[in-house]
Amino acid sequence: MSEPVLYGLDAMRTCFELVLHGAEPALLSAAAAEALEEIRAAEAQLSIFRADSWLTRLNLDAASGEAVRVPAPLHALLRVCAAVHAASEGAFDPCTGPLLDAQQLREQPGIWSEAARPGGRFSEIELLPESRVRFRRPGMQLDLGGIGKGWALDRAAELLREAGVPSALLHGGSSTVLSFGPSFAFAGRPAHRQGWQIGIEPHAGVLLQDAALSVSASRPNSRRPRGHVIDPQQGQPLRSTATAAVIAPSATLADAWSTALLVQSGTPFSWKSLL
Amino acid sequence: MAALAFTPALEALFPRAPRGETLKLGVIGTGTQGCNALEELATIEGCAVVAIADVDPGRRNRGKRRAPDATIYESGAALLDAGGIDAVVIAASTFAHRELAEQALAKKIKVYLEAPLAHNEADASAIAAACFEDGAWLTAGFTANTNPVYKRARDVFQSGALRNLVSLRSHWRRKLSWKAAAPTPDREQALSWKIDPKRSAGICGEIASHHVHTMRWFTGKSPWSVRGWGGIRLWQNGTELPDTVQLEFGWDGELRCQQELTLASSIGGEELEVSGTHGTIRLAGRHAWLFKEPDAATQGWEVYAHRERFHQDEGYVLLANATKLAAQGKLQAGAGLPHTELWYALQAFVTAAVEDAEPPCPIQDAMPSTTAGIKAAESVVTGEEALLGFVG
Repeated sequence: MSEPVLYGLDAMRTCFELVLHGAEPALLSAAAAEALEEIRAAEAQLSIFRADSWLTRLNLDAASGEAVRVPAPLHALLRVCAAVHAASEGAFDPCTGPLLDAQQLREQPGIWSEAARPGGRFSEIELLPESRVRFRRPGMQLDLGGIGKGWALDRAAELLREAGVPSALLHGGSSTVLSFGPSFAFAGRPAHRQGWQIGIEPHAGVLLQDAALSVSASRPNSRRPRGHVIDPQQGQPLRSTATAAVIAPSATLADAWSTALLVQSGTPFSWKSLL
Repeated sequence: MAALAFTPALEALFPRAPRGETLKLGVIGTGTQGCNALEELATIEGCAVVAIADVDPGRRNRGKRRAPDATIYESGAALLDAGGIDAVVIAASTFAHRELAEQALAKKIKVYLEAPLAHNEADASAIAAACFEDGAWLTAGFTANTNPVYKRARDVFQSGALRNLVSLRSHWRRKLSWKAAAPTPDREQALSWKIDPKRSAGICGEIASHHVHTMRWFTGKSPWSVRGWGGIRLWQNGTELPDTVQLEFGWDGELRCQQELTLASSIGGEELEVSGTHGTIRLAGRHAWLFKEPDAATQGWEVYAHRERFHQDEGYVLLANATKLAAQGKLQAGAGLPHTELWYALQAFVTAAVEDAEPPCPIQDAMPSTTAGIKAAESVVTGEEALLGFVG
């Protein structure tokens, strides 16, 4: 059996890393190439900074209120968004992107329709049969930045499992982590029988095995007094320092729920397990 | 030097949906290209994917995620035997094209066959023969002539903007092992067909044929010879096929077309350039530009172009129908294509199939490009120049 191997990729304005173990190097290398390609594809499909992404096409085509056909994987992801939006009573809402840009809360604005109007809630988006999507409020727009990294990691992990990789640890920007299979010794740290020990600074860590962990944080400071996470109910960015961590069966769910929990909790540190 | 980006007309960017009933489609092969096709077909009006097939269970799962309502088959033959489809997209391994295409054509099912047609001349000829049977309808997956931005660029070329041709050249660079990952050696071997010389013409067959096709369609000429060089620069994965090649095609008179293709380096991506005495047209998938020589005459349309910085050069971006695009809120999408080249090729296929019109890329157009790729692979192995047997 070979040593663990580490692969990295810059995507979604952060760094993704995969640590794979438990098979021949040639298989790990080929599987990693496919998984990295899948993350690259997820970025190209969900980016609001690319004119040709699935999401930009949807935002441009659906802004007028027309029902638009989208690829099945995007429709499935939007159904997950709808479920988390409803279960979190609106705390997770992928319609806040134009609000972020209107308040200049990120360096580069997204590509929005000329008809875009900040506002609108995800509950005003209809997910119709035949993979169609309709924006009931004209001008509303979607930004899946709060769930995209988790979705990319889940897709990559699915390919790795199908390729026969027995165990792996994947992360996107250190804030969303996913593991499957038994943990293994890596980077000078021994294997832990109950899973990967993941730290959540400045709090204690958790053990992660065959699950995903996502951490969202709002860190206003003197240079940037407003955070970069919008409270969808208020339409304003969070102003207090807070961290929220969620452990879930999938990285997609963990990613979405950590954003929701950050908005909901109002405490410096909050924690939720969906396992 | 000025760079002008081509933007095609609005109707070409957002083509109309085909008339008539929904086209019931099967998709055979749900690897990377088949999955790309499923994702694009999901957004094309006038069609529905009702069946998918792949011989590999992992690939079938990938297909199912992209077409959750489709019936799933364990082989392309089973899908074709089951019936219930009007047309089929064959995106299986190239060496499996012949059997699947012959079976579909015999059943009078309309075929979109991914390009190249085949990995050897015998299979390509057999597919061509099947296309000439009564009722056979096949379009090949060479995408240049359905790409709106390439069509716009070709219009400019045909207007004489480049004057006398000087050179044709292209490159395709991806850092990618074509060795597939699979949980068992049998499945790995089956999926790694692109690095098996018995089942693939390698990078020449899979990539060079596409560049040859684009250049043929663009210039209206076909290559008459090819000579190739190549080797393994990176991927020591047990294959004898080169991961890097340089090809030189004899084109028109003394004109040459040079191609550089590699799986060992990704910088530079994919570009094709047509150079003339008055300018150069660069084609890059969803984008195309014209670089004008300082002594080239102004044609008039440049007046409407926006300025764009291009390395150290500054030019003008042409935004045809900018007012209409803005009115539809689609102006931001105007600089490049809003859809992939594959989307436009599949959209043209669906429209032509529904309307029983001519195939967008008929067999006569696809054969010379496929043959050129196969002959290029042979030349890399033998080190000899290969004559292609077709001219003009």
